[in-house]
Amino acid sequence: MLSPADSPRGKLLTQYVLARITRMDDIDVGLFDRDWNNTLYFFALNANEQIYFRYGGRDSESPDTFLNLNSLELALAKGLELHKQYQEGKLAKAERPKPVFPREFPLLVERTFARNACVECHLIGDFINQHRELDGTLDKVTHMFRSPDPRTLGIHVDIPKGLVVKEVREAAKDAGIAPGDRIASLEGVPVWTFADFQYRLDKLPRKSEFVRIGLERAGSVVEAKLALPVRWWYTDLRFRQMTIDPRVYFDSRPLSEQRKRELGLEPAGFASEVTHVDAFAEMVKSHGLKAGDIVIAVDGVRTDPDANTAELFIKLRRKAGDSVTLEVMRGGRKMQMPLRTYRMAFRK
Amino acid sequence: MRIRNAILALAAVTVPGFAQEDGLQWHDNYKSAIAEAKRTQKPIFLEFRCEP
Repeated sequence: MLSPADSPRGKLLTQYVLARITRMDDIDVGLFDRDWNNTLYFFALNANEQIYFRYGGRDSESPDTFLNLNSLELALAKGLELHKQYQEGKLAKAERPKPVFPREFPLLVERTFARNACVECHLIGDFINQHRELDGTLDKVTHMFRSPDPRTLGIHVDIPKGLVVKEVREAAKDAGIAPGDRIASLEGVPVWTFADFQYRLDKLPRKSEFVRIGLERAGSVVEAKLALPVRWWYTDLRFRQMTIDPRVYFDSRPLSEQRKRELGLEPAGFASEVTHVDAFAEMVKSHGLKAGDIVIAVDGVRTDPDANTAELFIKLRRKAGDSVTLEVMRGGRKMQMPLRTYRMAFRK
Repeated sequence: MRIRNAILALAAVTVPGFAQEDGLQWHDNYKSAIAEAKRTQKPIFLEFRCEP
């Protein structure tokens, strides 16, 4: 009993037509584009399919890291306000995205519709990316690393309060963003919820160097120009269970420049230390890495503009199922080691 | 996880085309939600979730 009709949240919900969709068969996935690995995601819109706000968001720690009933209530109230503005002709009409339906993706049809299996949300993202991979349009930095985390920019919001900033670090601090500010727009596009903000961030070209963030501060609006940090788009992919990323079954961390120099390695290289080896690596004979090993090169390559670890290099530059040769340093001795990546099974 | 589970655990009594919970009616069909929104002039609150 989280939202009884006579509770404040229930009273907000009664002012909406409510719909819950669990199968994506006939849903316009162009209109409702989102990070398909969210297990729970909401939209507020009108009968003309103009979206007012989105609500959702997760990370690898938990499917509800960014969900909160108080912030949901704030969003619901804002949605009603925007709807009133729309009805009064005071809200600009948004251009409707091009319709895209799940049946347009042959692999999705083959693996789900044809088997009468559930067309789940994550399968939409998985199969769209599979098609991109097949037709050569896949850009892993954009399509695989969806939903950049605002915390990477140094922005920590007060989750129950929606987009009110709780704490700032690094890039956000340098840009002049301050605790208590409310994030109001990104690149000029209004945002009302964490999901709005994260979606707009996701739409930024990955090679962007700056982002403009509008802030409400003490009754006025100010704009911050935030210098995006290196790999601002990077997130942990482990919760994306069936995606196209090559599975390597080890975790690693980049070596510091000083450590690289001590070992006689290129400072700009992606040499990295293995921190954890998944038991699955031995089971499927993926590789023989051990914690503490330093991976220096992959197929002879030691540097990459986007990768700061060999693990990330493989995820970005190789396909799932590829085999590679690692150059590894163990106990001061260099060795060559094969590694076979794996593709996660989609619908069995 | 607790919040998600709590949201997902909302008790539902299913009738064709609708789920009733906490005295609120949820459409299980997008087109019928659009039709009701047109008729009532209300906005739509749309939830996408995996089946529990």
